[in-house]
Amino acid sequence: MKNNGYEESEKGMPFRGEDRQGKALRLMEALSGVDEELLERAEGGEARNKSRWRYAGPWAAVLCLAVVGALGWGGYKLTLKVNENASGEGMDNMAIEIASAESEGGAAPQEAGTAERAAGDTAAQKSDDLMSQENENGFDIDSASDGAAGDTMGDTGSVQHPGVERAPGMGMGQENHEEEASHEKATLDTESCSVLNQKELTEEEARNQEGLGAYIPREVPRGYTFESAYCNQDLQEGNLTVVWSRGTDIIVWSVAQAQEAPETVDIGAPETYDEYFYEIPHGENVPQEYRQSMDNPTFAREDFTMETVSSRMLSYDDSGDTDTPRGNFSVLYRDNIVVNFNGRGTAEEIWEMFVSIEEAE
Amino acid sequence: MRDTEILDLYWAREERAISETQLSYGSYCYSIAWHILYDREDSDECVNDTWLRAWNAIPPRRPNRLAVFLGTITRNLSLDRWKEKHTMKRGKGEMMLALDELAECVPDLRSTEEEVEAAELERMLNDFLHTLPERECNVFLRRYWYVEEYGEIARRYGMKLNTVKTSLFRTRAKLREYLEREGIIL
Repeated sequence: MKNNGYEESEKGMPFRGEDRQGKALRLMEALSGVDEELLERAEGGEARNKSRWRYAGPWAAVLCLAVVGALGWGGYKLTLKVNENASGEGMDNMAIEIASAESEGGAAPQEAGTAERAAGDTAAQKSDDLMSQENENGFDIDSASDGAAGDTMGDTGSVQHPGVERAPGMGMGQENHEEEASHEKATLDTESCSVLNQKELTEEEARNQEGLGAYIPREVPRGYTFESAYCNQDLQEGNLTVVWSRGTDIIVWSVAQAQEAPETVDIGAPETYDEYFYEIPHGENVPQEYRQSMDNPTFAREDFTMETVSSRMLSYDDSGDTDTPRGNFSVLYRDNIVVNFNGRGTAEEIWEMFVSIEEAE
Repeated sequence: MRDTEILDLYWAREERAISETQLSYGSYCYSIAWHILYDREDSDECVNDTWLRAWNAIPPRRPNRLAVFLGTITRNLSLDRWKEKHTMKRGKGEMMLALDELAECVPDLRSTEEEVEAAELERMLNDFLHTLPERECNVFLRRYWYVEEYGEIARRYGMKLNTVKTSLFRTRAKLREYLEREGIIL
């Protein structure tokens, strides 16, 4: 049991406060000789709690594979069936269906012609024809191939395009114009969406950004490597974001100079920010008035301690996930500088990141 | 790297043993030192001293549990460092709180000046800990060996904060009774 290379003689160093507390210190020292197995047992607390979930990850993976396999097999069988139909009478029936549907609906001659030709062709040829013809008409290829798979509209007598409503009796020519217009509109809508205007930076450039760069930590947890850095130029307030990753773990570190200081949480009221204060699910257990602060609390710099970080870093027993604690929160520094942390690491690692900022300051 | 491989490096007197130890147990030892000292620089020094002690002790030693071996060295060094710095003044962190609590276990006897030998006290503490239910023992060690905060212990074992406090309160009471029954004078 005797523990280590530590010299016994050093344990009896005089402690001037030989009062009850000094005696307590002797007890504390005597605890250094605790049996190794007891210590090892105490060390294993987390692992035992997780034992229930130990095999959840592998089982989830096996289930996923089984589902993918089943879907794949189903798809393969379906393909075989379609091919079988295409090479035999099934194809004829399909062509007849298309032809009759189109004639009922007053479809464009092109479509009818396609159907007639399809009667003697293979499914692949028919599909190609449909695709090429519809493409010429301004349709997209994906939609056309849907039609080739036999998706016909018996009532209206035409090939249905997703997202396009057609009036009863509407001819294919009209339909084409309608669809072209719709397509153009969709294109315009997409183009009218503003693209995020962000400036990519290297890690060094990020650190050298005037003002905000000083709030990028000098230290990151072991194993994390720089992934990206950028500032969003659409925002009026100065901002800077740096991302580091370690396998599937990620840390997103954002710094911004707010125009107005955000409200900070009362450090004496853990119910407003402490992740451990409420049972999971938080959606049911966190009172409405604390939801915003629980979601992303902002701590005043003077209130910010290692314990605060611990209160926000939580490990989850999610199957297939790493057990690295994860969390998020913000810290308000002087001049309304807000540092937002969102990512994974132990509380000590994250605390060290903030300490390295303070040193830089 | 596995413990046995690290120990082999020590036995081969390869300096890489230190860096590998740092890699595997740096955070663990730092955490122990931090909880006692609450000071980054002091904690770093204690951890570095730990590697030196380990280097001097292995060989001839070949610890069965390297983590516990290193952790115990760090803990002892940290306790000494703490004593040097806080002979009479009250410091920050959990150490003072933990000591205040542990003082409750000191038997209140005045009739003798004898001191229990450190080894005897260790033996009795071990005996006592072995009488405790596993969870209670674990919580006690996390608090008074690792000097962890209540919240950390609660998180580690999935317990409520008050349950941890209650458990520790009861264990301290039991320890005091045990030490008094055994006639231990500190």
